[in-house]
Amino acid sequence: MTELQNKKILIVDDEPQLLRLVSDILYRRGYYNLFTAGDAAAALALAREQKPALFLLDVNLPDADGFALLEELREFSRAPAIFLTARGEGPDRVRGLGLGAEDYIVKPFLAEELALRVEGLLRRVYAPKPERRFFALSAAAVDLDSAAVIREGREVSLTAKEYILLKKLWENKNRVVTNDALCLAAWGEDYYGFENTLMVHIRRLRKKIEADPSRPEHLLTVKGLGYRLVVRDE
Amino acid sequence: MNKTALKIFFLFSLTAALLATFLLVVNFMSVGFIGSDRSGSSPKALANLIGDQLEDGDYGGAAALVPEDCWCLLIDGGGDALWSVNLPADVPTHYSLGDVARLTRWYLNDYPVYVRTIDEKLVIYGTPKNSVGKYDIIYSMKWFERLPQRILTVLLLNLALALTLALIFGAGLYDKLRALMDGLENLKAQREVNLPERGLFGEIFGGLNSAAGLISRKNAALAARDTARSNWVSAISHDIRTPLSLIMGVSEELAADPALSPENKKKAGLITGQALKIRKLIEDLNLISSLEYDMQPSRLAPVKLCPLLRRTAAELVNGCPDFAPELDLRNEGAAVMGDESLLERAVFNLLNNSLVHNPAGCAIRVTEYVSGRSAVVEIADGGSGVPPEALENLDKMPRSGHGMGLPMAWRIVRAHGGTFEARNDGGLKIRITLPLM
Repeated sequence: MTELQNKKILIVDDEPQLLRLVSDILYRRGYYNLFTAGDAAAALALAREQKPALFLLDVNLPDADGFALLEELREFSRAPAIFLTARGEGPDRVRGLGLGAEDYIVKPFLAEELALRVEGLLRRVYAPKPERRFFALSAAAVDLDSAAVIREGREVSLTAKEYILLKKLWENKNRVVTNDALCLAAWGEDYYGFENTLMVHIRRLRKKIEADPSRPEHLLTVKGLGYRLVVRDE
Repeated sequence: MNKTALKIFFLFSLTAALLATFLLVVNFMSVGFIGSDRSGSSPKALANLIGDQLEDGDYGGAAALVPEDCWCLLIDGGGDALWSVNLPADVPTHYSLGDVARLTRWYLNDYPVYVRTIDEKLVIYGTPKNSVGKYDIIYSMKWFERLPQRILTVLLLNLALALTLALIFGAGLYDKLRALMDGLENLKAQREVNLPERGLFGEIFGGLNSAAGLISRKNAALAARDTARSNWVSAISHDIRTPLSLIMGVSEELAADPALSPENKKKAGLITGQALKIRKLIEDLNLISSLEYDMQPSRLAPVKLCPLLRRTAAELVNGCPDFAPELDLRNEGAAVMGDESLLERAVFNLLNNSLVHNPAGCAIRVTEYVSGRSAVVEIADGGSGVPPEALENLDKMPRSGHGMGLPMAWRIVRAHGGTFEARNDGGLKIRITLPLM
């Protein structure tokens, strides 16, 4: 984590107070290598000099728009970028233009949203080795890294589909994951008609991770919608 | 619309033809009226009168009745003259049976004559040469029997002819009428109207053209105003977003400040919460504004309804674990062409409405099925329903940010060519149909 927090971040916004706000939010979360610029020219100069690891760009700048700035930045930097947009239609435009921004945040945003996006993006780009994906349930422990369930000291391996389903559920732990999302993860775009197969896989998963598969405590059915993996805070 | 022109054209032609036929009948009767010769007393009547006098033996009286230029002759059964008045020299005084037969109907030495019998005798009354034309008209009884039929046939033929002529000469009028109707149609549809401003209809066409021009200019002005308003809304909301970011950021910062008293932290949290509400309002405002002025969803793609319904319901369940909607999705494959995020927004609004407006909790049921060429989605809750005026004003822009959920869902569904019904019936019952792909 500290390694990620040491990454250089360039924040570009024409509103000085917002610039300070964003810096403060990130600074308070341990990001100390922050650079700020109020316009595209200053941003380009700073980027050449400091070679930041992440760009946070406002779409509206006095001397250029953020999309144009990113294009220029891309000429010498492959660092990921997040757009800050104040437009209602911003997300569509950012998505539609496909200008190489990795993410976007619509103003106004909560500090936590911003921090999560920055952390997530840094992690995705610079820390390909994720943290250990291991979690304990009441009757068993799951080690997603080795696709195995450790139960009463014995290791039971997960099948490929079980692994995909459990991983998807764990990534959205304590939230409902719809049948559609699970089928999409396991069988791809053409998942239509796999609902029954999904039920079979869920049943097998329960046998592996639940104390009493007929009365599940962790892998719960949400009737008509999908499933929820209940995991207590580690 | 051209049907109307055709109708007018036919009615016009028919009227013209009927008028022509009516005129014919009137003329027929007038001919009869004019044709009857009533110039003075008729020679035939005079001949009769003279005969009466002679029968009474009043020869003097009879002679007095004969006009100067006419003559009268009385012959006996043997053909010899008994008495005469003004008898011209070229009129014989003895007649054979053949002479009598010839003269009774026609002429006597070119004198038009009228006869009358008195017992064995014959009165011949002559008028000046070339004063009268005499024609013999003979018809069989059959002819008389068939006369009504003939008249009817003639009248019908006349009518047909008149109609044909009216149609032929009316064709030009029909063209004009059609152009006029097309013009009116275009005017009604607020399209461009460009009719030739010449000829009989020139002025009418000119009037139509300028009316259409007026409407299109007005529409352009309205559209410009709408666009301006829409742009204004998005510009304002754009301008609000940055200061709102600061408010939210700073209040969050305050709430996290350890130096602050718990009470003040709570206040800071309140500011953040209110700022979040403003953010939601701005988003709704933008969406409503774009739906208002730009009714076509811009990004159309096939949307499967069932995954969308499940995903939206799951989202709400995640936000509110007590929420337990009952889903009855009967047609898993139903798909519509639409803007997925907008449709999701509509469903979210409706479910969220039921959730928020019934804080005590209520049963919420989502049913989906296919009926004909439409996918039907029913969202029913067992809650307290909504005020009737909210149901009546679904199509109107809400006057405040409150209660935008229903009108927004209504707009989204309508923008997708669907129907939206909402009623209170032991809770709020909503029925949406969307055209299937």
